[in-house]
Amino acid sequence: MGELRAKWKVNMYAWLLLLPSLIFLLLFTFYPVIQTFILSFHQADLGSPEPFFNGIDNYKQMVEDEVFWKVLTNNIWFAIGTVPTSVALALAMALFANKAIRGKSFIRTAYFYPTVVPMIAVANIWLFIYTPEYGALSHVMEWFGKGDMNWLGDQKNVMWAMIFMVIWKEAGYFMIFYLAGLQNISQELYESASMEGASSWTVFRRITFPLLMPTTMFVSIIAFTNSFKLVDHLVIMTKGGPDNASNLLLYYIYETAFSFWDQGMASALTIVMVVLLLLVAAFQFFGMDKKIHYN
Amino acid sequence: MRKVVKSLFAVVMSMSLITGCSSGNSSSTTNAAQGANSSGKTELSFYYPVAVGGPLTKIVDGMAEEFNKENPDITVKPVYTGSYQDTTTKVQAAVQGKTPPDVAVMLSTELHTMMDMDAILPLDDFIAKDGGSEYVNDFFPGFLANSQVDGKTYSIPFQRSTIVLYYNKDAFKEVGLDPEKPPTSWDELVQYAAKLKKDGRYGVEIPSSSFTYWMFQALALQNGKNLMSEDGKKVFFDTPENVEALQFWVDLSKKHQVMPEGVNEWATVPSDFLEGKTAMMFHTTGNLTNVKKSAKFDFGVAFLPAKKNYGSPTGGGNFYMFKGTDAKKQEAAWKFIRFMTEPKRAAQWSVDTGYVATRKSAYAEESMKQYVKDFPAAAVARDQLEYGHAELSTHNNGKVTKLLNDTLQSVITGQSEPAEALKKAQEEADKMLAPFNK
Amino acid sequence: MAEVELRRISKMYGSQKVVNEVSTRILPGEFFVLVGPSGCGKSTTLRMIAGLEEISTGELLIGGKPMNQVPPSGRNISMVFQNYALYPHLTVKDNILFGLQVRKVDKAEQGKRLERVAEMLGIAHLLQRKPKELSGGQRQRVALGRAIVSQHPICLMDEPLSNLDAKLRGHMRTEIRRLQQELGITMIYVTHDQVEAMTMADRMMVLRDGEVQQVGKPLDVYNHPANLFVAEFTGAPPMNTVPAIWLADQAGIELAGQRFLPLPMFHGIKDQTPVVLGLRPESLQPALEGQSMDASCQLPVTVQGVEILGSETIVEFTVGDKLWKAKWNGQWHCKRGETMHVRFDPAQLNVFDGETGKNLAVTTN
Repeated sequence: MGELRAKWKVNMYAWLLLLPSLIFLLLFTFYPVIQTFILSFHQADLGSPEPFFNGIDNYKQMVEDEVFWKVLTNNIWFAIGTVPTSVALALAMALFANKAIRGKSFIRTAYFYPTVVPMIAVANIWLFIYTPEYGALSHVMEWFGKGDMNWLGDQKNVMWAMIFMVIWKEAGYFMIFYLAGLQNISQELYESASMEGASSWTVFRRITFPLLMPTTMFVSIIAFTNSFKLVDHLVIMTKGGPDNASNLLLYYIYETAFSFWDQGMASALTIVMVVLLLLVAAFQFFGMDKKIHYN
Repeated sequence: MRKVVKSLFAVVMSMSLITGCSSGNSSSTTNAAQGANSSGKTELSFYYPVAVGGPLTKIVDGMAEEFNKENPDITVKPVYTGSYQDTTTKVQAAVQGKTPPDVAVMLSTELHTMMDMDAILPLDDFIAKDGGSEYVNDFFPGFLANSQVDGKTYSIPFQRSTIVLYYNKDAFKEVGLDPEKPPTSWDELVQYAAKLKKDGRYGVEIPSSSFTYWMFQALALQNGKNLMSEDGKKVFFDTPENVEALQFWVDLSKKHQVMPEGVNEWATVPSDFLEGKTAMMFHTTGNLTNVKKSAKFDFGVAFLPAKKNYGSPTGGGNFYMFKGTDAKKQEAAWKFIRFMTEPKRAAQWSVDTGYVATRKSAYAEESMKQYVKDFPAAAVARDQLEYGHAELSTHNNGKVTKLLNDTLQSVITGQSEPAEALKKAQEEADKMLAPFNK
Repeated sequence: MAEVELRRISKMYGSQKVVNEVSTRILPGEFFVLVGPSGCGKSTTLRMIAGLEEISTGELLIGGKPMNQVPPSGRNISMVFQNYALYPHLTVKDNILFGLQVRKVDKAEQGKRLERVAEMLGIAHLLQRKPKELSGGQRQRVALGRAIVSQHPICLMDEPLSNLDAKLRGHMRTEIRRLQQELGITMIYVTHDQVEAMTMADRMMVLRDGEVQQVGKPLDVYNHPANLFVAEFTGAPPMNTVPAIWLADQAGIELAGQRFLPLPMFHGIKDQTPVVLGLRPESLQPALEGQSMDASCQLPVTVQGVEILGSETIVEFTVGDKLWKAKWNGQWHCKRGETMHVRFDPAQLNVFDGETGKNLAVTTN
């Protein structure tokens, strides 16, 4: 009896401590998600003064919407283009920055710098770089005797241009996680391996890389979710154009909600995005987690 | 015992955090709501966007201050709300939260959207009480077109613009063209552009991002008719004239090769012009001041070339008033709108910002006369207003506009053919507009 | 083949010399311990032998061949690290076999060696576990196994027992010693614990501030410490010392201005030279009544404190201005403040130079 009471007291104490963050979580995360979920089954656009329940009509319409499929495919390509490359680049940069003997802090700063710059500013910088005729890239291509290219104005190029920019922007950020991860690997392990005469590739493959797996996992999830969350550059650079060639899911949601004023459809799109991200996170956590060593 | 006290403390702390936030919110909203009845002084909230460069917030604040001085019983509080898009979003949020601003400047094309939301007030009663139609009729019809539906006026033109042709006089001289004779027809445009084109310089650029539909509208108007019905319930995308207009646009780069291929960035086109990378450009009058300040060469401004006739859509922002505010405030808001659009202020606004003065009488003002005399280009925009028409604005405006933008970009980037693409766009737009045609 | 020779080896970090001209020769099959307080340069010396640190000046020979430029893996040595350096993501089996896999040793051979090592160390049942599932002692064994499985003739150990509790440490001491002897490896072992050095070493090298203090068999070092530092570093409790004056004409010593002890003659020491006397605690025994002894080898003392440890008793008293400890077998119920006589064998007395601290009787080094 007394034990039960003591236990209850301990639990209550824990709950009380959790209460503030719990309230905020409920208020600003769960409640809106639930509201969005409910709204996604309603017609709530400019044509309907009062929202009314319309079942899965929004989802049906979405399936038939070419633009939806286009932005979804775009987003998948965007993720495939940015996630592995930026993560690999981050790892390479971290290994280099960690090994560098001279100018260590300069190299780190140089790598990290793009991360500190706000996405809006980055977009403006790259807007200039990609400008045809007198943009920085145009000049470089001129030196190589290549013709001018309209990077942002052409459907075939625009996605590559975006992917490249985002990799540049993100890799430095992920590098910081890898640097921290590398610091956590005991120097003794490397000394031990060097006693055995392991080549640096073997050391990387058999020691460094597996021990960085938790970092890789974490960074991959961040990178993947970022590939769905990062759309600021679209506002500045292309507005999703030309003809949706650079449009991404979140920007399309924004357009649907605040330009088309179709709240119902925007909610349905949001739910799709939330489910998508949850699935990926779940796969990464439950599927890959077992193969990863955690200290 | 101490544990209990501690945990109580934790709870109180967390509670105070929350209530701290919420009380902060509620106090600010009540302030706004009570503005009217405290001590008889009427407080007005005024949302406005800034879409062009320059110290516009300062000018707006100055004008509001002047108004407050003239009307001691009213205090206008200008709230800068970002871009046009941001402003619309904020107004929308405020309307849904039942605390609409008393007056706001939004795109003239938001008319149908705002009506569908049942958010805006028709202004006819105020106009009637305040001297009648004489005031309204003083505005250029091209500007007023986006304000009126079914004979009712819903907004008052404020910061307005239109598209004009900018051309590089030095380049004209260089290739032996008369710098005082800009192209007046599509054929001349092509001819001149071909002549002006050389390595590192294009003949003409028409921007095709952000406001693609607006540029297309200009071509469509020159070839006959506007893209939509006045009530915003119908669009006419796939008429033979419009297909021809779009074909002309595409041909400028594909066939005549006087314009860069692909999408030409809205913001890059003026830079191209200033850098001498293009000899002519279609662009908004909103860029007049910028080009005037930055051009290192002699430049001219002209009517957009005609096909069947001259034609250019107007653009920019109007004053709106909202339902759900109390009568006293509405009176005050109307007073403020009148104040802001007085001829001398409209003239000053135009001189300060480069926007086209919205009223005919503004051009009779001394300051405006002087401005036009020093800078004849300003008069070109005014004179072209004779051929000015409403900007594309329909019900479900965001969706329809994006549809048209996407379609145009798809054609411009060579992904589809004009006739086919416009036909498809027409079908989809009809679907989008169907709920409003019941 | 497995002989290791250090010739005037030094290590500099910038202008700071952390190891100063260390020379020694370690014989094949020998258990050689580097011992000293922290910061004495013993680990650095070991790491230079391993090849993990560059040798600033001097020469290292293994099996007669110069090794300065040879990478660690070419030196034919294995190493056990202080924190074991087990790969946390690999099983015990893979940890042990890592080196063999890197060297591409034949699979069948790998299996054979693994089996033998696992049996030798009693870790056969742990092979599929990961390091975090092992106790400290088990990890230690795996680390040992990894060193042994390589079959290198030389093994280096850097404070391998410092992470274990006292009981386990004692156990592992004997085990490591046994393995070393069974396998006939040359062992170079670093520790700060003089007990480990005393109990395990064939020979030991005492280091201080990067300088060699003494090299020798543990008992020689214990009985004839080369200087005051070694004297006070070895033994538990350490050697008792007290300043005194050498009286040449009387062949004896004046202690604290009072005592006079006849001593064997030290040649070449000037009269009135300040010296330091040193006596091991176990060299001081109670002078029992009836035992006839030279009075000069007795000291009247007043007991300051007593620790009875069961099998032995530590008695504390002051000599001159120093607190001395005597260690007696059995249980002695002395009382604080009690006066008594302690005796010692003058042959066990160490006399150090008062200025340099050198043992006047020991000539080596």
